Amino acid sequence: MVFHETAEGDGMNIVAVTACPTGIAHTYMAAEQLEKTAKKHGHAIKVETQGSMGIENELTQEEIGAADLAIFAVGIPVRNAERFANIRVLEVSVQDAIKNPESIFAKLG
Amino acid sequence: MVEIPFVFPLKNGMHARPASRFREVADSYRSAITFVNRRTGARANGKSTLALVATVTLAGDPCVLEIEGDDEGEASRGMERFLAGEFPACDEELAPPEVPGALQGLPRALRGGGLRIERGIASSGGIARAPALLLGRNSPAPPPGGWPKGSDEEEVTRLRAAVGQTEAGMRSRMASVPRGVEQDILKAHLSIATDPEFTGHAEETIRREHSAAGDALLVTARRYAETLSSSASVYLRERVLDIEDVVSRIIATMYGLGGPGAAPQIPRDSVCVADALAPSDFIALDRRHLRGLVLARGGATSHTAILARAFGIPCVSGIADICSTIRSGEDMIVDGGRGLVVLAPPDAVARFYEREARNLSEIRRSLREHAELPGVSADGMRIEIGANAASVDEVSAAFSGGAEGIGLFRTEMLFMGRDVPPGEEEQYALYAEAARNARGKSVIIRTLDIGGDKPLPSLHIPPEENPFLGYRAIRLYAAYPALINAQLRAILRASAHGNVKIMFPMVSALHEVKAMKALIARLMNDLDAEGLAYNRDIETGIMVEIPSAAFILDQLCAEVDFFSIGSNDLAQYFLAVDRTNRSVASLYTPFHPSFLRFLKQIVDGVHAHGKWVGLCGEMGGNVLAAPLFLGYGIDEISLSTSLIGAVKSVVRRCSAGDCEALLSSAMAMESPDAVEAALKDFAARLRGTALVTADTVRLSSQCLSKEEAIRELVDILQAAGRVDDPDAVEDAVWLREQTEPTGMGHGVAIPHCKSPAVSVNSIAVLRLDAPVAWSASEEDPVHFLILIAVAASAQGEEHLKIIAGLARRLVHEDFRRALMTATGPGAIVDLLERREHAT
Repeated sequence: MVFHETAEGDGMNIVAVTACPTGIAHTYMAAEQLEKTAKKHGHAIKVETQGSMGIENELTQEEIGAADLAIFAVGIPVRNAERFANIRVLEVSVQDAIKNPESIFAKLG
Repeated sequence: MVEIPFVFPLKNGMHARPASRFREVADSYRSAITFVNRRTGARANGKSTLALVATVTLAGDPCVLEIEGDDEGEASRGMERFLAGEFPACDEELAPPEVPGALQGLPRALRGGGLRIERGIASSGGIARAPALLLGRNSPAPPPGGWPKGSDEEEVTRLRAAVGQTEAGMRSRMASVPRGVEQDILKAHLSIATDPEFTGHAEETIRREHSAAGDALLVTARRYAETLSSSASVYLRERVLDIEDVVSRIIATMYGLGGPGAAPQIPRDSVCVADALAPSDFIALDRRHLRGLVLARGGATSHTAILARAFGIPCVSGIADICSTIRSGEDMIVDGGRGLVVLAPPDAVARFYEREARNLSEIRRSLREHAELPGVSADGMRIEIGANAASVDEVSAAFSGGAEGIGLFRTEMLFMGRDVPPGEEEQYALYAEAARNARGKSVIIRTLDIGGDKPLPSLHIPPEENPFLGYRAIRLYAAYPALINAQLRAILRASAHGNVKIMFPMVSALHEVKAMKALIARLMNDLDAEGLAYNRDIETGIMVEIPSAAFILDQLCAEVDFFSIGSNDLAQYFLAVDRTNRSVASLYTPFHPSFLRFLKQIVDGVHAHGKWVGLCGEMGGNVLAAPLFLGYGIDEISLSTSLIGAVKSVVRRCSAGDCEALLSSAMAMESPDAVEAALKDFAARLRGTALVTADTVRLSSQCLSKEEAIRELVDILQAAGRVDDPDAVEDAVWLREQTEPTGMGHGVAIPHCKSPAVSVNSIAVLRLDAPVAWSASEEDPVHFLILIAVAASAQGEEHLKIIAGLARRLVHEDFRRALMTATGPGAIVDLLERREHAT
């Protein structure tokens, strides 16, 4: 997922973090679901996973600074959360991200 | 007086079986032999089993033998040899006794409220469900008004007569049961009944107290029971039951009571429940309808528990009040593995155990299947996988455990523990039985390998400075012609009953083999003259355990038909390392590159002369070494029966070509450690990296709830050998479910866990016939489950990447639909294994 490309039309630039307690399945399902749904709505998104293989696809301060919004789909505290001090964060459960991604994106207005 | 200090070596302490063996050896000398426990100060007559047991000696206790008499020199040498050699080995391996109170967790299905669960000691594994049958106690209590009583002398006579009659009964029973656990236990009981201290104490009580013989016996029994009950060893405390058993039998004989032996009838399938069941009561039970056993007393190492394990009867013991909490006819489940009993089990619990029983029998079936397959590599190279045995029982066990032959039948055990060596007829009967049990498969009988580390009291060989380099095995046959003639004649005659081969141990020179060949020819002539049958073409072979033999293979091949490498001794002599010497033991390894080259030279040397070669040392049972044997092209390996399944499964996955390359590189390595690392690496690659196989996919299930479905997924992984402790894995999955249920909509749930109880990272798939609710808030019931189980040690492994990739693909409807509509396990495995990101 290439974030630096501008989103199409009225799409947004979104950053997201997914993390679940065991970190072996839902972290990645949620990431995939967010990416898939964002693409469908014409948003650009980069999703950092904090799972069994550690932090992957890590978000830089620049990427976060350039984003319109951050989504946390987490069941445990986000690591290095201070990076997101100056951005609007929408926090949802991992389960919601997997099962109801559309309702999350509907809230973005 | 001579003193022999020693540290008590047996981990279960001094109990009846080793004590009775100790007494047998002590009895062969005239000297008085006193056993002293320096920790407790207890002293015992070494010729009394019960006195020895009553010292309640524990492993590690400092002890001393005091020997005094006209043959004390010989006796002390004999006892020293016994203590150093046979004694430490004469205790049967026992399952570690479980400490009451240290209870393991219950599986989830048994944690619900309102269940009637009694917890005890896991004494014999397995699951049984049947109505309870309460057995009454066979306690030898005096009748109201006491036992009839005569004069002291009449009572002593009554006692002696009853002891004699009981002894005779035990001996005839022993003669009628096959060798094995049952016979050993009868033997231990016999040695209590005939113990001079035991009967002496009872007689003394009669004379001193003027009591009836029955009362005197009870007083005596109580004395020993009190000593044993105070022991720190659970195992020794459980011996009280043995003494009570023997006393009951003598009293029953004495007064003509029903007593033990009047076995209760078991008219239909039952779980028998009793306060305590004496071993002889167990033996007397009609086992056709005996499904399980629950005992208020006793434990995992009681003789009754050992018998229950030998006969595969699930048993839980140590549930103190079981006899008062249960009525005959009440429905119950015995879970022998977990040590618990469920009374009046509700449907869900019954279903849990039905599933588990099915799973256990599936596991047993697959283990057996593996062991029953032939020893052949994946690319068709044949290697015969046989078993080592030391008794006829072990021969039968070996063949039912998948042995393709008996590569080594040790005969030393037949000679141990007796004053007079077994004669030709006795040996012939045994060897012939072994040959018949083999049903045409090969039985290689090794002639007596004694001396050195395996002394034999009946031969009176003086102690040696260096027994491993001394007078042993083939080297002493010339001096004991009667012994070797009897054995060879017995083996030859047994060859008429099956595929018997003769093997000579400790050969270092050609003349030794020539002498034996000449002897065999002469004995064959004798047998011809006597008209006794034998196989004229019987194969003869030798052990290769002395390096000198390996350098005259051309000469030896002219004399014998086969060779068997005794890897333990060969490595020891080759590397000049005494394995039992701690300072140098680390230098002893069959993976020394030099030793690997030596083995290659032997195998190639034998094959060059058209003969065949096997290996029968410990190395044969080392699963890491199995690929090396294929690399050598060795014809046969012989190992402990319990390892056959594991070794065969390695052999069957290897390709001989890869193994040859492995061997060449191992022989070129610079250290045993490097060789071992290479072998481990080879084994890991062999095990493969499949997360999911057709075995872990089940497309039909009658589960009625989320609980049952998760348990079935875990059971699937257990049956596939992928989890160590299914209860722990189940708990780990539920721990994850409690933070957030893992339903993902569309009828799919992905329960998962990371747990140390997972041995292989795995995926299991289960399709339910009818959907089940997954969580209270879940509107969408689940009928397709994918369990992901990850080993706790898996960090940043390839598997985690695959699982992450799979998780991502599951988000996509087309992938889910393909999975849910797949026609068979193979199709599902293909879909799950495909790594491309399907979007």
